[in-house]
Amino acid sequence: MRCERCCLEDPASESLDLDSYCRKITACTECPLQQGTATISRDVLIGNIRRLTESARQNRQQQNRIRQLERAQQELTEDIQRSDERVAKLEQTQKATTHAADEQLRAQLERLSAQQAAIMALATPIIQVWDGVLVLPLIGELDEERMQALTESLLSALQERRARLAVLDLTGVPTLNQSSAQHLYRIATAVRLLGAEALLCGLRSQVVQTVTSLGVDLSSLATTRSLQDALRRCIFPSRELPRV
Amino acid sequence: MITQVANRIATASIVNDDPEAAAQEAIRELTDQLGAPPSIVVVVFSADFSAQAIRDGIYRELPASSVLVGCSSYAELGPDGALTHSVTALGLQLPGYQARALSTQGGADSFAIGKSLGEGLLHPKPDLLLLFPDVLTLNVTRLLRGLQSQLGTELPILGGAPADNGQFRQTEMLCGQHIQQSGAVALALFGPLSISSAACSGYTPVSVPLRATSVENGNVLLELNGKRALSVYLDLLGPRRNEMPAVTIEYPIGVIRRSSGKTEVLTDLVRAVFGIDEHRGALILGGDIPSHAELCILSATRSDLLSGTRAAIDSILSAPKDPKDSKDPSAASELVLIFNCMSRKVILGPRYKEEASILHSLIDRKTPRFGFYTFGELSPVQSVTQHHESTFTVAEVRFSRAT
Repeated sequence: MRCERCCLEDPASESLDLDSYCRKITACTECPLQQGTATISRDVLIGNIRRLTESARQNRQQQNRIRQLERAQQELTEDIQRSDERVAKLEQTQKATTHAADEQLRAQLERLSAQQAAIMALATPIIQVWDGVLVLPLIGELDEERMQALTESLLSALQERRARLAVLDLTGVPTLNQSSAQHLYRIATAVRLLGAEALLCGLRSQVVQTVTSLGVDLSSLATTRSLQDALRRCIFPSRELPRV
Repeated sequence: MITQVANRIATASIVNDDPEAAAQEAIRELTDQLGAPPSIVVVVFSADFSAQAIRDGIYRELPASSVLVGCSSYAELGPDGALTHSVTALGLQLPGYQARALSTQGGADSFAIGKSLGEGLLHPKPDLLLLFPDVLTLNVTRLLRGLQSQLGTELPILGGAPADNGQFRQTEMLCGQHIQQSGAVALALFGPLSISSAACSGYTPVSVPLRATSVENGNVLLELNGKRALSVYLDLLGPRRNEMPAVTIEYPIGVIRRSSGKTEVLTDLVRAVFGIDEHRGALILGGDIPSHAELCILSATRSDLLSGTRAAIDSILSAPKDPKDSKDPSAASELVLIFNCMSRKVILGPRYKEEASILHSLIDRKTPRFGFYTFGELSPVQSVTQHHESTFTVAEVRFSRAT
């Protein structure tokens, strides 16, 4: 095969890409380069060198790009591994932290529960002031929970100490709601069922007004104005206490 | 007749296991881009490579008269984004500009070393100094103060502390044919230029303010709120104290500023915890902190760091340009320099290339970019050069066309 027009001499061959250009030269059976008869112009030679240089540069850049990508891939693998290790470490830390926090919370709850029991015990103190006479000084709000605890403690104390009178001192109770007033009434009934008597003392006028306005009838309960009166009545039971 | 001569700037990043071949190829690439060998070369190279191999590769292609400075790095930033295990070079042909490479050895008195370096640059004063100080043999904060005592605080100094592979054992620097493992190398540029620079970390406080009640030598933090600094730091780390000392990279120290009733954590003044002194219960910081400073422990998610990067780039883009450049934009050649803390790469993990992607998305890709991951950064903030850590610093340098 021979070139129609020698591509070493044809200026149009400059526009060929390097691959096509080289293929044309190597495929030519009568190429003056191979026959040693070439008379290539300086411009063509320099042009070819330029093209080869540019090609070598592109090749160099491509190789560099490939190495960059290989490196990036390797790095990514290492980074992912490091990242996984970090996540594992953080998970471990989180687990340990959660465990420690759980332990701390449990201990706090236990402490809180013990404190609550202590508070409840303090909230429902039962004092035996005389043989068969118990006094319950109540202070603060009487909520459902406290009233329940009060009932249980009082009834069990009445049984244990064989008491005949329970004095509920309400001097320190600022208000009573309908539920707590009714609860007081039920306590008095329960006390009576155990064969003892309940005596309310120290009701503030504000409490009495509230109870009355709520329509709760406590008039059937025995009352005294103050704890002093109540105690005096225990010591000198000159007259019988009203019954529930 | 006065003719304008174009400034030419080129960058190249070559990845090759053979450092000498990589360096040689980098210079070839710069030469191809510039049309002639660069007269000024700044090179950063992976700490996996020996400086000697890099130097030999460079001078195989570069005339001996060329000005060369460079250093080892944790990772490199170039035209192809962030790379590791590469040789990344910046080549400059700045007709009408003067350039001078200089170096100094490390020593105990960093201020005096900086002062001496500055004295050598007084006549004439440079217009820009690229500085690569070794943080393992110098106190960079004090070196900078020494330099500024001679050259003024407003001389733009850009650069970063050479790095190794994160071992903090040894770094290498190049100044012409000379190789050194301590001290600093620098490139002084003389000629008309303008700079916009910014530094931002992206960290946020995770502790209450803590008063530095006892500090030794500016960077040895002995006490916080009257207690041993190390135990305060460990208490604040909580369960992550078990990961000491590696975890310190994630929890640098921030400086709080209170002015006119406002409290803010300085986003550009962050101090990395470089080491601990268990015996004295002290934290050894990478740079100095202001005396009696109010500090806090900082932390950042990956997204926080990337927000910091974006904020820094936005800041230079919104900075007012030099009126001379605005009148004739074609008369200036631009270069973007990035000096980024290696700790950010560690925290960002596989996402570290996103910082370079943000840069690519905000700044014209044709603008040459060059930099590296450092052991500490130098960049002006509000016209005063400061020593930063854990920070992304970026600067846009515009060279006016010489006549």
